Amino acid sequence: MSDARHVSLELPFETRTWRLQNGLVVTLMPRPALHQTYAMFATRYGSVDRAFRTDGKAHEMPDGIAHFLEHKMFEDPEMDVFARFAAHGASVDAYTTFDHTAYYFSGTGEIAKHVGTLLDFVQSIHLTDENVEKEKGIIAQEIHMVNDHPDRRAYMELLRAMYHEHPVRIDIAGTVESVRAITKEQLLLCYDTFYHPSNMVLVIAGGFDADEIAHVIEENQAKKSFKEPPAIERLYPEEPPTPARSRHWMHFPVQQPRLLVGWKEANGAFGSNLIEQDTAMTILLDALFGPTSAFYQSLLDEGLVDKGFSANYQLSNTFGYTLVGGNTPHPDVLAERIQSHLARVRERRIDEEAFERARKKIMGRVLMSLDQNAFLVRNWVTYFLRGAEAFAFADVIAVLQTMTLERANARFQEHLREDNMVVSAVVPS
Amino acid sequence: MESFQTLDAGRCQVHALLHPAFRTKEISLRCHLRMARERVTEVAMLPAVWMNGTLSLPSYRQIALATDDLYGTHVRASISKRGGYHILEVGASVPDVPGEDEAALVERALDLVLSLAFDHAIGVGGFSEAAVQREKELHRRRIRAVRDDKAAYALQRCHQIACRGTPAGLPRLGFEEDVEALMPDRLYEVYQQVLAQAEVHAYAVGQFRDMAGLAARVADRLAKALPEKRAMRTETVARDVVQPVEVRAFEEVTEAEEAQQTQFDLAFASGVGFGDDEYPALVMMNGVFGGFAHSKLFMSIRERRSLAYSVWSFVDAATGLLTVYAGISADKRDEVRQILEEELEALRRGEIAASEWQETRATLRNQYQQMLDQPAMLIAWHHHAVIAGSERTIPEMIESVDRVRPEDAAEIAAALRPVCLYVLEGRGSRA
Repeated sequence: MSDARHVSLELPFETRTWRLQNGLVVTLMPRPALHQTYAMFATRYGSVDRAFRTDGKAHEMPDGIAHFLEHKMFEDPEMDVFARFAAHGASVDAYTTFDHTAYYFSGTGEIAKHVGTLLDFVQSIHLTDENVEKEKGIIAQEIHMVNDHPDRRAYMELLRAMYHEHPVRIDIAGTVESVRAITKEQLLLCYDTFYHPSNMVLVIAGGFDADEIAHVIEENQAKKSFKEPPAIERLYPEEPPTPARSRHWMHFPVQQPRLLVGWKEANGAFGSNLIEQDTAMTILLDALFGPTSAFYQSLLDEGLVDKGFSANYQLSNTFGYTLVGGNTPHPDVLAERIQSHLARVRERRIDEEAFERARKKIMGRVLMSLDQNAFLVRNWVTYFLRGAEAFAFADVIAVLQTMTLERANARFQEHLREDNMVVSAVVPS
Repeated sequence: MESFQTLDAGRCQVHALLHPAFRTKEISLRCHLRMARERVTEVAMLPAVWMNGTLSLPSYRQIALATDDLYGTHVRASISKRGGYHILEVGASVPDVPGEDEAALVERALDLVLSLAFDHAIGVGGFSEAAVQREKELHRRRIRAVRDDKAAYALQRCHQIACRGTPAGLPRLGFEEDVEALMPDRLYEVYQQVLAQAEVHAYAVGQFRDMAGLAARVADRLAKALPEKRAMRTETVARDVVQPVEVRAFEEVTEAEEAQQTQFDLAFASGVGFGDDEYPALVMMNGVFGGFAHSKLFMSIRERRSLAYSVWSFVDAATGLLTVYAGISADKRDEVRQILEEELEALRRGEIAASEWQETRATLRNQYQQMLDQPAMLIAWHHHAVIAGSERTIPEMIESVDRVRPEDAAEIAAALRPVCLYVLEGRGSRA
């Protein structure tokens, strides 16, 4: 079997990227053999963008406002947005993350019409005091739902312990109280600031005609006029490199305890550096904690973890962290085992065989993901909005192929240290 | 439109679909058998036991090492249920790696899948004393963990009550009280029963270069691995559809726990299952009622009254239960129930706007067409049809949905009978 470093990759589709006059970047990935088309229109605006300066004025918004705005974009006196997509057989939805907000549809026909609807409903806003009030009850139920979920709680509790000031420590949807404080005027200000085409990207993959869709987009945008793009200065509080707390135990009505161990990055990253670091960490974490590691097998043997045990890495422009953990009957013992495992690796370095195995596996997983339109588009959008302006999947493959064991070892020493580590558990109340 | 080619090999069937759009190759071995109280927990544990080690790969780590070497081929073993049937699945997703010998990769993935299902002995790998002890603890925790996902737990409870006393009313993972006394020999005995009694279907979907050859090899290897040579397929399939005409009292069950939100699940019996002619009408009726974001329930309960973030209705194709779900404040349960009954009455009177009808039909068509792009969905659909004793394909379903008339949906709505209201009250959810 050949070496993963020498796999040659030809993408199974063509990619076309260009920037419109109004600043909007468009990427098309036509794939005629597929029935489904997946399209995403996204803005570089998420829950952490709660304070910003425009036209020399600083603003601080209530927590959860980006997510609130996402809900309100579906309000339109002219049309029921859900029904408009449904009438031609597409489904539409949206989500808000820490650093972006995305609107997307998935459909199998009349793609030109749906692309037009997607652009139109996101590029207009219809707020009244009444429809803003009405949304507060719906969002309160959404917050309750999320708060009742132990995995989500464990995750947010860890970030709360990890960060002193950075708004990544705050729930994306905010709190019932902060949401209650949101006004129509604040929503409008955020919309005007962050929904300018120059702050957004449109990515479409699937079974459509690229020339036709490119024409539809150009025409749709040429008909609309936009103000000059606002100069946005995002304001983030000063965040020390060390965690706010190194240990955090929370009681919660849960059947099984959850343990998460986290490591904090001192800085975020942009563009190609972000892709490189993200890829290095993916290989590194699989080699250290993946299903083929001897460490994982020993945890299973001792009944300390189940097969949901996992390791994840997140890296954005202003923050980054690793999370390792899952369900465990003994959070303290598991935390101690993870620490002593890393102490041993710190002395002996990362095993070369494990590193190559992880590289090979992740290469295969990237190749398999090319079958999934939704995955392709989401990845593209995320990397693009995090500064990879000329992103291509071939870049990820190239990084995977050229990654070295030395680099992984250096990343290990730099990131998985004891002084930037947080241990957090959710335990039955 | 693409369709499966079936190779009938007596004891098992091999279904192959050559699909040009996918770079990933899917292999799936699916065994199903009736659920029974006396072995439901043991059967539920088997896929996890298989993943803990085989004769040739005696630990989970060795299985994982083998998959990493196949470029991260995703290998899984899982337990699911469909009405009163347990489904044990072992599957592999094999990446298409340029420059690699495809046939060799596929062959090794197939070896792995067959090994996971058939290459076991008492006292070895997953059936060793130590592995079984560990798995018992994990299974106990799995059963308890169902409670941590409130919405899923409430729906499971609601359906258990609605199907009480039938195999369909048994929980997917079995019962915690069965776990303690389990010994490796008992698990192994149930494993042998599964091999002898389950109906076995193997699937291959993707760009396999020699599909016919592969199907023949799979059939041959299954014939050697399975103890019973005769066909296990019975003439009649067991029917799990809950009948609305049966004289049974409506049950209302409320349980309480520490949570911010209250889960509301109201199940209706339609008397219509996947294999029935009226099934497309049931699906259309559900779509108009609460299946989508343009539906009556979503518009009235969420958009107009702000009572919920999540509110949906959905159909369980095996039992024919149509369930309305909403995550609400505890004090709103009567209001929600009243609104949903008003909407159902409107449907019964045939009050369906032309736009609602058209939106629902187009959305369903889209949903089914998207399944054609997903190998795992194609496999699941085919297998679920087999279990229901039906040959309805996805393209046929799309055609049938197109033919449903609003009065058919109204008729379905008129026949619905409420069976169970289950409310999991969050103590912290009173406004």
